[in-house]
Amino acid sequence: MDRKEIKTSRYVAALFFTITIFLIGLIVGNYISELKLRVVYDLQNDLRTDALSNELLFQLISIDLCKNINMTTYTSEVSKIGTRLTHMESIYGYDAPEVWSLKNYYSLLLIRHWMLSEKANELCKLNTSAVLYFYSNKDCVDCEDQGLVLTNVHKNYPLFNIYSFEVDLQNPSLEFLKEKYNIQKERLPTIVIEEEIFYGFQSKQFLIDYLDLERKLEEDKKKHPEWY
Amino acid sequence: MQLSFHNILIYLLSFIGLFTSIVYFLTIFSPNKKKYEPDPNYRPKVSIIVPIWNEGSAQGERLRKTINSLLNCTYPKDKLEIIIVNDGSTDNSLEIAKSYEVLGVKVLSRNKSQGKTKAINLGLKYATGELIAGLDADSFIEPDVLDKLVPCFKDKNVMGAIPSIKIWKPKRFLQKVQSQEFLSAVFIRHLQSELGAIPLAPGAFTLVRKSFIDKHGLLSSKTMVEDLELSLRIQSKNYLIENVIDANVYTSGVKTFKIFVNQRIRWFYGFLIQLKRYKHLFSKKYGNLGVFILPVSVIFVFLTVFVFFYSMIMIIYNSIKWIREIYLVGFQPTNLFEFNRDLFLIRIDNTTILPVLLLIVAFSFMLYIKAVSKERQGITLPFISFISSYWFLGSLCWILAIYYYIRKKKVKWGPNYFSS
Repeated sequence: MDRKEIKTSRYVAALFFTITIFLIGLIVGNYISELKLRVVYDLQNDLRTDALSNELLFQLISIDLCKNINMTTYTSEVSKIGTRLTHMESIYGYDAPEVWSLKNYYSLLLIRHWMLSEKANELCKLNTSAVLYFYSNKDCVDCEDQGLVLTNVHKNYPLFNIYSFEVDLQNPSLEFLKEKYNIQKERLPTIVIEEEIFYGFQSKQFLIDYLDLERKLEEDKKKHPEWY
Repeated sequence: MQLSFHNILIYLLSFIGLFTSIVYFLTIFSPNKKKYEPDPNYRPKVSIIVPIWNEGSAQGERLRKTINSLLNCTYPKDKLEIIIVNDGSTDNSLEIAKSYEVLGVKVLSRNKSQGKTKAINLGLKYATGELIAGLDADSFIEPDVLDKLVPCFKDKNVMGAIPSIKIWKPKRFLQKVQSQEFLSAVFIRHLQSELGAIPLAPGAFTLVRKSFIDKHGLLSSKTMVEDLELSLRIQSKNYLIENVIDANVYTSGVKTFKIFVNQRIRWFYGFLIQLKRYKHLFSKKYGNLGVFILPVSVIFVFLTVFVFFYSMIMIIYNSIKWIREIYLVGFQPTNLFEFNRDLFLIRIDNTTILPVLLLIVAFSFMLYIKAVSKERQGITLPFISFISSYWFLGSLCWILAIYYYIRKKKVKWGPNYFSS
């Protein structure tokens, strides 16, 4: 009957191996997550150089050079960081310190991009539309819906750019914007379109109509058929 | 890494799954494995009982295949007794069975069907073998099965020996799922046997020492899982049930979803009833069965049910979110086929590494079992079918079985024949 006999050593060994493999799994998993954070961090650093070069370019250019200006790569890189940060948020949690500092930095990149594209729009008549979107991941019932709507509008109308800012982030530039546009936590989501402030949820149709996106899209298609 | 409920659940499942797998792993590679070598001098008489009920369709092809496989087995003919019990068939099953009488097959018959268990018990009363086994009329054996099973009984403590039961040529999706389910059971029984702790010796061709039945009673016709009841009875007397991994018995896969579900509800419901009846087995006195196999089975039942409900809640939650999104931005079919090609977004963290690790371990175990049980049929497709669907199908059957158990609901199980 020796096979029925409980060999404690077997169960202890199994527990030891389980804990070891489990810990290795945890360490590898954490290492990969940290590696990813590092990738986002490096990407942001690279962009700092890109942004600086764009800024210099803007300071150097005249109206004649508008046709040579291309914001597309810069925009898509900024947007790529945004997507990756959202992905990291889903792993670490939106308020994890590791993600929070990256988000803070990202908000600066966004502000810089917004300023550049506003300038480019003005100088080169690019026909783009931009919204500043202030939200919070906690205590905001409509923010998730508003995020969905804005993303969808951006997908359908590529000339429509969104600059999203988590209101709990703290840096002087963002603080300035929050003060300028009178952003209040209890009135989120808040959208700023061409200096006009809209409190609460705004529908897809409202945004399309207000910014005249259909017309702008048609015009842009005629102007740059190769982009569509 | 955030410690959400979802993550904790994955950690818990991974930990229990890993621990169980490692116990199994250490068992497989234990140096003191017992082997039963074939012995030409040890040839006790064996009686095989084949209960039949309306097996006449397609000229009784299935029944003929079953009987022919028994007649063609390599065990000495003078030591083999085949008894067919016709349980009130209303077609020509009896006629087909009688046509084998010239070959030495014994045929018993009664006019009214009383169920499979009673049919086997009738056969047992007439059986003269030292060892006995039942075989459904939708199953067949490989010729050397008895040569491999019988030597186990040289050990006086062995009261039962089970072959590897597999699905023959699974074609439909559910049959593939079932095929993998059976192969997993082969693997688990192989390990349980090494731990001297098999809680279930399935009815299909499990060889049992007749003296045990004579002393401790026939199969229980009051339960719908007479094989489980007999196995637990053997365990409660502290005897051994052996498993011979390369002794192969094949059975047909289920044909419909309803049969698949009914079959499992019957097994799981029966498991719960027998577990309550034999609860004293949860004790150190019964060795590995009491401290590991049975407790782990119960933990897995709880986790299965829990994961099912959790998954359902998540599916409903995400569906509501999806419907809300459609309401907000309209339905855009292109969104369904939109994938972000950024490899960075592939989720590789603890909550994906650990389950993937477990899947790799599970598949490796299946490859091992395919090799040692000399299985010729492929296992990749059945494995994928099983992994993708059994979390839902298996859990659903468990929940229904628990519901019937709690409500003490009387369920009509049909004649309990073969695939019913």
